[in-house]
Amino acid sequence: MKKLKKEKIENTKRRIEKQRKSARFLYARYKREINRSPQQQSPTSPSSSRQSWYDSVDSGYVSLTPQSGGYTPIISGYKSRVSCISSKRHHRIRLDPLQSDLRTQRHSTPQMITQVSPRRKTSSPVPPSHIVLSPNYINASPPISSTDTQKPSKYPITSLATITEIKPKRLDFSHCALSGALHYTRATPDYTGRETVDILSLLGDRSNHWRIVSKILSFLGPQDLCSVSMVSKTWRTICMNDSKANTRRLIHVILRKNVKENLKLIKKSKIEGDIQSSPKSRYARKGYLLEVQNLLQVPGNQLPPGSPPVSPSKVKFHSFVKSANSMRK
Amino acid sequence: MPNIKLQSSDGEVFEVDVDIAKCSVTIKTMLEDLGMDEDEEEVVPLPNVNSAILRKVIQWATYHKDDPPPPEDDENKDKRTDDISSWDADFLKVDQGTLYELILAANYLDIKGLLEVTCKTVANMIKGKTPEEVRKTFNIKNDFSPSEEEQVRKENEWCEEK
Repeated sequence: MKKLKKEKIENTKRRIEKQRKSARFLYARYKREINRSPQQQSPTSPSSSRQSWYDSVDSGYVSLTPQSGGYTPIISGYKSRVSCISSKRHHRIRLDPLQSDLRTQRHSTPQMITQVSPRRKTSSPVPPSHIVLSPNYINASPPISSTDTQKPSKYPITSLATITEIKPKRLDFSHCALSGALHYTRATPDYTGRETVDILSLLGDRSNHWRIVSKILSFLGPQDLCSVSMVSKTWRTICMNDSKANTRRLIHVILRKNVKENLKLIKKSKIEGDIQSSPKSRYARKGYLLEVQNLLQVPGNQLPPGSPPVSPSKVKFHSFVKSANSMRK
Repeated sequence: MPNIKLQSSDGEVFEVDVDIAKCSVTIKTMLEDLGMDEDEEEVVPLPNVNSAILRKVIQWATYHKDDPPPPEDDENKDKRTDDISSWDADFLKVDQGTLYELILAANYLDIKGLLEVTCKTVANMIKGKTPEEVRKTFNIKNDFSPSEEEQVRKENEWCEEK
């Protein structure tokens, strides 16, 4: 942890390296560093103003705040942070409890750096001083939040570095084969050698090989499908679930039904046709052309041609008329 | 001719000609996707197939290795089951358990021809039989209750051959 942090600080602010060794003596070192820092600071900020700022830092908290106050519009909450930092700086030894407050805010310091730095060129050199200060605190008490915010950029690189090689796309069967030999990996029991097995149930219900079941059923005729659906509950379900087979079966049932009903009719008329020799006699049986037949069959007709023969279909009608007449009387 | 080693579920290793092994689309795809080195010492495990079945499958594939690829499934085509070659018929004169395992293996290894012929064999075992005969053939218990039996019978009464 500490090493990573050290690297980070080295990368960002080399100037702090000296301070990193001991935060406790920061205040004492500060004076020394003031003399050195102008050379390490960015050339854009005038050394004279920086010098004045460091002087003000030395002078105390009150002198610092007015300068930092100028930054409040840019970064919300910055002022309070600055006051915290500055007060911290100057009273650290005495006000250790404040460190806990800082810890919570420390994670935002990296953003402060980026936001403040453009300003550095135009305005007072106060922000650089804060940038300088904040890493010190990181150092003083190892934070968790600050590392978390900065780590993401680092993690993938380190984790990638640990991956030494990416294996080529080849299956390594050596392990598989061994485990296959040691453990029987089949989910279903082995039926080899059994004289009889309920093959459709095993394929369908037990092992979900519905494709095979459909294939087998597709080889069967509709008549066989009917038989299949009558074998057992399972077979019936299997037959019903296979939509194609079931449709074929149902169509067959309906066809069969029609055919059989028609067969009955056909058979009946066939029998009739066989018994009766001619269409003429068929009519005669139903009462049509009876008179004519009689005339034909009995040449010596004894009966006088009385009233014209009543149409057989009108017999009932005439009987009704008759009874109606009698009722009227 | 390069060989490939196939290992059954019970650990037996079969060395097969690659061309024969390629009857199985599963193995063929695997070899095409992964490539095949010369003098390959790799053993391909087939955990779903036991040695007895794998031996039969290899026997079938060896006999049929020069077969043209089976025609695509045509849904509308009338399915025939009487076109099983005599060799296949002899080959499939096995107990039902083995037949079942052969179907599973053919399905797992994706051997179309073998799957076709085994399914036809099963269909032939059902064809032209009454429900009672089918039950006898596969040793199935009639688990319909009397009322269910009556319902089923009624539904199919028009199919009963008379």
